[in-house]
Amino acid sequence: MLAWINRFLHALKENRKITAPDVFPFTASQVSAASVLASFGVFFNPIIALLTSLVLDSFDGVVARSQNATSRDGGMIDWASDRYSEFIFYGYFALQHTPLLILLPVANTLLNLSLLRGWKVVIIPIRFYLLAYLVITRFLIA
Amino acid sequence: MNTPSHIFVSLLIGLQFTQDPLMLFIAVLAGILPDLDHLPHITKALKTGRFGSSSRSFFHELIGLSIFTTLSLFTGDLFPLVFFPLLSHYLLDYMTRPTRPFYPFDKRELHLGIYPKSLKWMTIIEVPLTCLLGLIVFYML
Repeated sequence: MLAWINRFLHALKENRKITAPDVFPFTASQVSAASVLASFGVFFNPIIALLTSLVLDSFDGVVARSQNATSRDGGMIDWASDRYSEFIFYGYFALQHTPLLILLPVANTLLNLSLLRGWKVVIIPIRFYLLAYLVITRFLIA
Repeated sequence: MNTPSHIFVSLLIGLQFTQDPLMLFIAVLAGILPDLDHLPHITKALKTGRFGSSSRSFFHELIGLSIFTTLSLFTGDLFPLVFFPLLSHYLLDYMTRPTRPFYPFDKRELHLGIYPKSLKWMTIIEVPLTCLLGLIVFYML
């Protein structure tokens, strides 16, 4: 944080163009971490927590590209954060409904690992499906 | 995260579901289960002051979480007392330590950058944090 403040002040002092790293102090992996931490909001408001987590999850790539900090490691952190986030959300709903729901993030983790082995599989966006289900049941079905 | 922290967090989670000492013991066991793979590396850890990501077997990563989660489905009513402390262990480690989440399929070591890496700062933060967790557990008990 101090390094960021110093960089921002130097940019102002040197009268050079302010770029994204000068304005946004966090790294893409820290944004991914925030996405996982936001998942804990499921215990308070599942819909807001899901929206926050998904927005932060999509934001980490933007941050990485704007800071010219894209890397394979960053992509792996994004994947890992997604898997842990799914376990948090589906763990909560497994408690509310049936423990079998926890098999969905397990399946997604296995699909992710298969992807790393080079298998042509697709990771299922189970958080999006969960958000759609919650929105439909909360707002559209009386 | 260090083992006492895992124990305290597991107790905190267990206390949300039960006050029964045996059930709380089960929650603690589930919470520290992944750390059993550190036992062969204790000598090295005592010399260097830390275990390191190489002391983590695949049971300590996402595939281990998947295996233990699936097994926790067979615990019946104990599912919340087993799954949530277990999940807390993986999350705490992911947030605070260099991990290899996709090991053994990918051996890349990843660190989120929200927790200090140096042993000095880790100790400065973890000792009071662990004591605080212990106090909270003691108060709730």
